[in-house]
Amino acid sequence: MLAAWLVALAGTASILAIATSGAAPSHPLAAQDGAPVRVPPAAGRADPADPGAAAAAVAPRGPPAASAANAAASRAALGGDATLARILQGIPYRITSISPWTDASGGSVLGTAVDIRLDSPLTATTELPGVRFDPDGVTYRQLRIPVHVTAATSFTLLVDVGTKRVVSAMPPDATLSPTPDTHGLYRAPGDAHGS
Amino acid sequence: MRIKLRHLYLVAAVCALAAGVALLPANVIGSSTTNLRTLGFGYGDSIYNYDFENQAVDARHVDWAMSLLFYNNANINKIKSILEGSYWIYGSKENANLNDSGSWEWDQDGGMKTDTPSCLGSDAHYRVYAPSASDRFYNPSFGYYVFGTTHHDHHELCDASYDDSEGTEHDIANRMSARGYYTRYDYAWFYNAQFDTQGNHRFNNDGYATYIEVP
Repeated sequence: MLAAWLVALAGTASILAIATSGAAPSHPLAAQDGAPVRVPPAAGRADPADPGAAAAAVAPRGPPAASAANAAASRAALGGDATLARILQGIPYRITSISPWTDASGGSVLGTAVDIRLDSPLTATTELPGVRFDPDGVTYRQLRIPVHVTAATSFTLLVDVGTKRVVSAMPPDATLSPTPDTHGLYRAPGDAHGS
Repeated sequence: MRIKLRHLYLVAAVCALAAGVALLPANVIGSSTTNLRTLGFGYGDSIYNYDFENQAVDARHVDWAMSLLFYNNANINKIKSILEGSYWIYGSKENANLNDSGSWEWDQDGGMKTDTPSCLGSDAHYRVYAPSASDRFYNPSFGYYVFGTTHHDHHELCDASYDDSEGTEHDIANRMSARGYYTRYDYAWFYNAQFDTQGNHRFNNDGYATYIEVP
């Protein structure tokens, strides 16, 4: 009778071990540890499994799309924005993405972030619109930044859906260089916020 | 004599730059995430998978996703020393909450950047965290190890914005690999994939952390 109980106990333990082997971390975890992460690779051994693989498989791989209404409003704003038209000097472009732009809390939609690609490179001395956020991360001030742009083929735009305007238009930094007037825009001491 | 004078000018310039950067206050703008959670590394070691604007665990005031792990025999100063040829200027401080075998504590780091703040320029910026008493975690699975966040700073003195955590993670992976350190880019899932634009803070983090072995 005892032998039968021992066999049953061993069998149950084996079944439990097999059933949980895929989920169990390969190293001891304490109760407060949180989600187990992959241990480093070891020379001469196969890579350990990543305990987060299942969560990774269902995670987002890119920005969410803006709402249909905000996307439509943004397209309309781009089409009618005199500042953007002046900057692009008639160069055709296509929109590559439109995603939500919120305040720093993530809770209030300010507008959209729009990425565009130009059909031909833009080289110009111009003024670009930019935004400088206040410390609350919710409100911002507008800047006009004098720059030389050299061979820019893409821009990231911020469209304020409240004012229906392009409030920021920035090509990659590598295409920008200052003009003598750019330096007047430096922040006053104590007005900067790093990240 | 001329060489000595040049050295003096250089030292003075670096001191002035450091003083200027020190005057930049920490970011008070915070960003938010729905991914905030603790990660377990075994033996009671754990961290939050984002760093924070302040010393408070708050999903509405995070800064960047954890995206680097240096293991085997790493410590904070060793990592900064290895990368100092490219990442040479101090950044503003942020905070990580971590648990080294039983008690939660805060560590603070300004990290290192590839360039000084400017109106139109940008720089890559990383921060590394570990228990402040030892500047490193230890457990038998990871050895001595530390964590890091990564991002790019843009136009900090004009229309400041921040993004591209993946780009700086990749840059550090490349630099460490080029120096002979065994590097596994995007090796482990850290549960912090995030792609959105909040204020002047654009997340584009794929959720995987790069592991780099530091003997």
